[in-house]
Amino acid sequence: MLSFNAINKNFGATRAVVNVTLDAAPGAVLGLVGENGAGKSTLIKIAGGVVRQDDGAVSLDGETLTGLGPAKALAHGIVSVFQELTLVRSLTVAENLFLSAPPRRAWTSIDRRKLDADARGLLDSYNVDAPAGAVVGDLPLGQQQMVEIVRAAHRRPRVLLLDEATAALSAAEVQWLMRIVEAERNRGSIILFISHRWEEITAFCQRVAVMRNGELMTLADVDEISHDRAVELMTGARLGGVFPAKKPPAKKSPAGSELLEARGLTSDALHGVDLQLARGEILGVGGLVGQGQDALLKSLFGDHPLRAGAILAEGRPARLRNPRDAIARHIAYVPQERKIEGLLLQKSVAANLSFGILRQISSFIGFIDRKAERRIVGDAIHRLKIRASSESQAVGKLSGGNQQKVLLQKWLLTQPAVLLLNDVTRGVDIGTKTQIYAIIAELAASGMGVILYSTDAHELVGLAHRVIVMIDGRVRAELAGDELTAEGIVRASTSAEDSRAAVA
Amino acid sequence: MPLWLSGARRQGAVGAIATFLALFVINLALKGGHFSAFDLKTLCMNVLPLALVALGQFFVVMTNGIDLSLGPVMSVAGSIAALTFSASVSGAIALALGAAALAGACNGVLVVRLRLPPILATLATMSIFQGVALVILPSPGGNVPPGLTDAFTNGLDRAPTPLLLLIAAAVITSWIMGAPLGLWLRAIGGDEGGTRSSGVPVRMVKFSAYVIAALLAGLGGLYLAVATGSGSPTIGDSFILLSIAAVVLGGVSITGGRGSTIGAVFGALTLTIIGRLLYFANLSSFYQSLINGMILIAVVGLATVRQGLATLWRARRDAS
Repeated sequence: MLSFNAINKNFGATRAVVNVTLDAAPGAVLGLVGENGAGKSTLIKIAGGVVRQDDGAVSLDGETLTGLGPAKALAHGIVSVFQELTLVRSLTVAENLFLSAPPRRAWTSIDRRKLDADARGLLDSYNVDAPAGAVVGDLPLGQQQMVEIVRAAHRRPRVLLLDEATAALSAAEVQWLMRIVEAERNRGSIILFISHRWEEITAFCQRVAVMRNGELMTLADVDEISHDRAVELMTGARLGGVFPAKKPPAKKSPAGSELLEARGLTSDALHGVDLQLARGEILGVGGLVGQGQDALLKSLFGDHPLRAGAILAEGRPARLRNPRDAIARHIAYVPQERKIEGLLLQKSVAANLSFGILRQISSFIGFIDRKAERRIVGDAIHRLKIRASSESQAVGKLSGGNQQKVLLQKWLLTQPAVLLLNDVTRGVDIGTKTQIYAIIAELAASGMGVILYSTDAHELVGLAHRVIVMIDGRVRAELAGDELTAEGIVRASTSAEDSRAAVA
Repeated sequence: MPLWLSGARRQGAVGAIATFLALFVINLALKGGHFSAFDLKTLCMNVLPLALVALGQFFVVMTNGIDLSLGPVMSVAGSIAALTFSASVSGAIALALGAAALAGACNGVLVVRLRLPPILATLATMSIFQGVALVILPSPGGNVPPGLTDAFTNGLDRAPTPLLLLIAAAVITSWIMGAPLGLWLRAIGGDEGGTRSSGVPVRMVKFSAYVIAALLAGLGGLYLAVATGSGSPTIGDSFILLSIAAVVLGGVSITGGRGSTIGAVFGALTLTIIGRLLYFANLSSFYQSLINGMILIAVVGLATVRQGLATLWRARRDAS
């Protein structure tokens, strides 16, 4: 029995896991479901020793596990398979399978022949047709994931943690994993299984735990709970009054002269995406994480190479080779990872805000007009209610929410016509979120077109006029009017038809 | 293809071997097609110190590290040996190698325990070891028994000692790379986090890499002292960057994970033969570092282009 006892975990101001008490017994695969950020992965990573809880205890067969790290978890027989692979891509399949204890000859050198033979035997016994001598990085992602799963199963785990282990697998490979999980269950392992796909939960699991906002909502037998009920519990009712009133977008622009239009965008991550954006419209983009939303927004900002497709700005073709081209067409982009992509953390609020408009406030030989800078920056700070002791404070010292506001304002100073927002409220507290929502609504009301990608379905429902849901680089559904509900978005994102079957 | 050859291809040593052979042929042509046993011995003698320290650098670079202190470790080991040879030859060797191992352990602790970036840790110890060498031996000097010098340069009883030493170094380091330690070094360079979560003792492995590197550099310093017949506190300085250049020329990935000991040796051979080429072409040795740099760019640039093409080809194959 693997027991979580009153587990709490915060990441900064975000409460990732809130007082969760949960038991997983051998003989019944326990599925964990919830929206992105519901705390499923954090919970599983605590058991795997990757994340340490703030308080509460994990125990295995009555023994409390203290000071758990990845090595110690392995020693207890707790084996994890995460969505992000832990294989070394530059080594061969065989080397990865036996990395910690390769077979040796005398004089301690590795017995390569036995290594490859053992690996081949192991792969055969699990029906994986990846060549033992192939370099892992050269294999397709699905096979890499299968090798990782074989390695985990080969360790004869007491506890097997599968965190979206099916994300990279084709339909046939998911069937393959199901047989392994079934065998492990019969062997008496304790198995935790995270998936966003309800049909996988019903196929793999006997018990299911639903999480929302870090809390455990319910624990039930899988045939006692319907998909509808699970979705209802996953999304739940939210606090009212967070979202501003929606104003209808400006009247439909004549066909062919939309503010922004994309036709058949195709790249590594996109497979023929079309969209239109009108003046004053907020277009939501939803779906599970990593279905091409990031690539879509970046391609509209000239920061993602396209193989095919066209982008039209006000009816005219726009070639966006890099962000400079996009900025010249008054397209602004606020990224997800503000620390990586958008702000100079050691620089002052003022320097960050004026960075995007240096050209407007500089004389022609390049001296910055400091007076104009102060005036513009002062205005901006006032308007955004940024809490900074002074405009010269380093951005890195501000709270996450305030950093995000600085980033938003930096782009607004460039007076864009189109604003691309890439999951900008992730990890931001509810108070600051409300302020950011108000700003977004105000900008749209003033005629700006906004494309809003969010992992929070309620945010999309609360702000957007229209929402497109993406699966595997394609627009899978478009929701508007009465159909636009959080349940509808989650259902479309996790729809029962397996779109990957066609690909495999 | 034989196993060792396919391994060399995968680990990028082919470029270094080809470059060396091309330069060797030019060298031969300049000398009128004449290559004697004496030439072979001189080449081995010239390449041995660089080959040893490059092999050392190889172990650190494999873990995605870099060691700037290996040159000064050579100076320290050579200086200690030159000062103590007169007391006891075996004692001098033990003392010099012990000091080198200690220096490597210092680097290892700084990188593994204190988690300093390798370039910073070894920049500091580089300066410290330079200082130590100057304190031990303020000006070139010391004593090396003439018989020892003779045995290790001209050869012992007609056996070509430098060639044998070069082969021994290559064989021993290749054997280490064939042991689990070698696999783990490659794994750490490929993906340190993944290697740790596979249950590999990552810290122990990285620490060993720095100690092995310093030991090999110490051997290089010892050989320099023996071959030149005296110690010098600054003799290793020119090897600081040359050792890195040799490793990179040898097809070793500067971010770790990919490379071979054979590549490192041929990287050192390539850099050495450039010097001899200039000599026979009657060009000033001032051109040496200019040409070193151009060859480095050519070899590494070609490898990058080839890799780019391979990636493109794979992407096309996967797309279709």
